[in-house]
Amino acid sequence: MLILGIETSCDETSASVVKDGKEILSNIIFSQEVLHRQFGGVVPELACRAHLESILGVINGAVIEAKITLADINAVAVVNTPGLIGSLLIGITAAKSLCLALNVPLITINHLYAHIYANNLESGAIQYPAISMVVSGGHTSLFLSESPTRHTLLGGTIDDAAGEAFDKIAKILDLGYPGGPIIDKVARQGNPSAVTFPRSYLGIDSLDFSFSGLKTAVLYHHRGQDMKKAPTKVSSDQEIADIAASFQEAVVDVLVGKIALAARMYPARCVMIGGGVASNSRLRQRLKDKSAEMGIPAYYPTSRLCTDNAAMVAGLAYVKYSEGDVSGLDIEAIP
Amino acid sequence: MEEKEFIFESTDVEQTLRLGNLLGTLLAPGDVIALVGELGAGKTTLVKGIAGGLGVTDKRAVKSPTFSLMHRYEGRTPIHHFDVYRLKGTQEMFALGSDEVIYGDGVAIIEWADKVPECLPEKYLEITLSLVSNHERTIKLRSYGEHYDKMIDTIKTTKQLF
Repeated sequence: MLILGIETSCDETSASVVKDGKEILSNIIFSQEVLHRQFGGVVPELACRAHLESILGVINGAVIEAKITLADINAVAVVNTPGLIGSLLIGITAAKSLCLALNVPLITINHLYAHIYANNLESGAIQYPAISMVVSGGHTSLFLSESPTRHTLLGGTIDDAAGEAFDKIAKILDLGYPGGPIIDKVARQGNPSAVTFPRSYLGIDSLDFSFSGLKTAVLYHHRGQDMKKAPTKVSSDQEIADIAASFQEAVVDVLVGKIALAARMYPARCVMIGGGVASNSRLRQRLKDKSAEMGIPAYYPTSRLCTDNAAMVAGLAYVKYSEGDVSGLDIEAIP
Repeated sequence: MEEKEFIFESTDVEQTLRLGNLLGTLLAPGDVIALVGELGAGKTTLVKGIAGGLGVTDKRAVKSPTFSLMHRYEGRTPIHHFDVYRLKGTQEMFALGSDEVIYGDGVAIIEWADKVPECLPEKYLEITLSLVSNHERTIKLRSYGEHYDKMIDTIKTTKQLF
């Protein structure tokens, strides 16, 4: 069974053809970053406009790369929640149109569940129940997963998402954008115990997250006592690397700590992560160490499947379709 | 039109939340609040307080909209919480449909409002937050419009904050 997946919930326009929920025949990801390079930064930044301009080309690209024709598609899957309303609508409208034209069923997908499913695309038989975490620029959510389609939210951020914290700390340290990969790289040269930044656990059995206080603490440390002024002394590269490493350690401590706590509170047979921050090398290493200590496997997708992509959408759609969960063409975007 | 100003020295997060809470109780549908202040200044924290004052009971409802650009919360009036941090400027804000919301029926709160001055209506309340120390913040309220003058007067005379 061939499913065409469409993902437009945030900054990336993506389309993919996946066979039987497992075999990725194509996975085209068109990001704003690419737009920038191509058009020298004159294209409006706003996601919905960019999606509108790229969606048809991306879908076409996915079909061609899969070496099939549109007529071979058996179903169309699209992310309808959560995301930017304008961006979601572009993907949904494209998906509905294709379903009408091709007379195939429509399957709606939750963006967060798709991120978790990225693990199923690459790993064999994942044992449930699992503790799953989606960690990205816009989300930090912890789930108890009983199957690829059944997830119960256990906790989430009460202020900033983890990826947002990475971006903002990179900005404070003047390291550039996007912050996640840059901090990951710079932190390798730094000492993670150089600075003790606060870890916010929000209570001994809380599964929620807070990264706002950490952001302020890093700012305070970097700027010194007088916050009204810009930093008076210029930090050396080593000092910046130490701050980056110490910040990253504080985030990873909390993320891994909460995953482990959830895996103890619920009888988890494995843990898995997804979303952009899941490609952070320190998080991957620490999660692996922790899971070895707990005696259960840990899964994380390859980097390309951590970022927003449609293969995870088309993959999960196969499971939903097999369960008979098909949508009508009257579905709406739920931001 | 003369602007009114009120400067509040907040000693901790709790006080910032209380100020937001009080402000929230004074807001009416159609009101617009422009928030200004650098990373970590406490803009989202203040919005948490405002939302509480507007009747949003779920303490987890208010989160940073940096990535999603806008959040909507249901209080006694709808609250539209914008974060313009990722936007390049006014045009993108208009493309987002900000006009419909800012000139609509709910309360609109805009973080990083200084990046999109043309999107603000004639009358609004501007709040500038600046860092003093790890916990202390200076919060400056400035009114543009009579309706907001009164709001500042009420806040000034409310002793519970101090």
